[in-house]
Amino acid sequence: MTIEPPQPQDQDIRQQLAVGDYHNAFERLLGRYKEKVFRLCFSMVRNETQAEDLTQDIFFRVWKALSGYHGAASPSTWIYSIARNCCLSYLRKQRTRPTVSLAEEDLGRLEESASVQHDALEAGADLDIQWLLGQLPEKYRQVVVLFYLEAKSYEEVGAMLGLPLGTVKTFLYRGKQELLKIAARRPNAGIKSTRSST
Amino acid sequence: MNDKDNEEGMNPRTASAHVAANTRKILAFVDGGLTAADTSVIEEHLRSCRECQAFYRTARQLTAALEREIKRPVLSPSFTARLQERIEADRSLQSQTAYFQQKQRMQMEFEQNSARLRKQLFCLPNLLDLVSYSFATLIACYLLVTGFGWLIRTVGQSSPAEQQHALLIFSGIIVIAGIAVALGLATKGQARPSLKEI
Repeated sequence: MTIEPPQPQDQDIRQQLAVGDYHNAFERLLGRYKEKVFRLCFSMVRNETQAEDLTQDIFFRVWKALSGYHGAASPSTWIYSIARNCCLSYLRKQRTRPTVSLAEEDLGRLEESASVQHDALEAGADLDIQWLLGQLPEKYRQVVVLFYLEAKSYEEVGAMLGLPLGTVKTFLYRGKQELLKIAARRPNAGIKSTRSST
Repeated sequence: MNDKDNEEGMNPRTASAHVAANTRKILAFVDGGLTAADTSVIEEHLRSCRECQAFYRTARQLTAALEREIKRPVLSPSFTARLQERIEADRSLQSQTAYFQQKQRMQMEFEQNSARLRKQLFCLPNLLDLVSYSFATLIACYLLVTGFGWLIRTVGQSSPAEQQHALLIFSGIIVIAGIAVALGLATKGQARPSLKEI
């Protein structure tokens, strides 16, 4: 079940759609959600140009489908689901970059190795976050990136990715755990520069 | 969390398990995702536990790096204008397509109806019907003209009593001719479907 944050501000859009005022409803949707949809796309495809092109496609689809919107879900949920589907089909077409995936037992072992993970970091290393993020499984990376793009709002991330709040928290925790593990396992690859420790 | 253990000092294995047990809370604490009660508990614990303090520093370092490196992407200023252009282009294409489709449909309907009408008019039963109707009309016209000529001649040569008699006969001929034409029309109406039916 997806937890959806209450969005009373979308009531005006619903009313406009109910009376068939599609043009103004679309203008409001665009103003309200273009940045969010763009960030959602960016968290999924990790490329600004591609994310912008996808955002164009998504809003074009929204425009064309607007007359068929019957208000079963809130406009934000509807737009986010179109956005996710667009991004997923784009990613399916791409499939050029393999991602590192961890089995559940690996994730279980992460907690046990927590105390040794921070040794390299404690030495005063600057993490190469972009490289580390590239090593994360897609579902964790999306949550981690979106969490920091959306000002650390669990609810917003849940609404955008269509995930329950508990799942968002778990994915964020596991993602960060894995980032620490990767940084500890391959310190040279995950660290930009190392300061001398005293 | 056992603060007494920490004060006395733990062996590395125990310390590892202890930190692992607190990892999730510490990571959530760094992101401000704990409730007020949990926050005060973890703050209290961090004041006295050196192992958890070390992990807390690592978690803070990771979070700071994520906040620093994950920058909000910005949509290009031309985004909305490009989208509107695309929608306008699609609208005009749609209206052109609709116009050509309607034109094609009307042409097709006209051709179909013309073919059906030709078939209806020139098929054998309707053709015979048309011939018989024309023949009846010709006879009626002939009787009318002949009767009128005979009447003119008789009125010019005969007495008033004879004139009345001739007028009576001529009226009878007119009535018979009228009945013949009416019958012909009635038969015609039943045999041939109307244009609306076609």
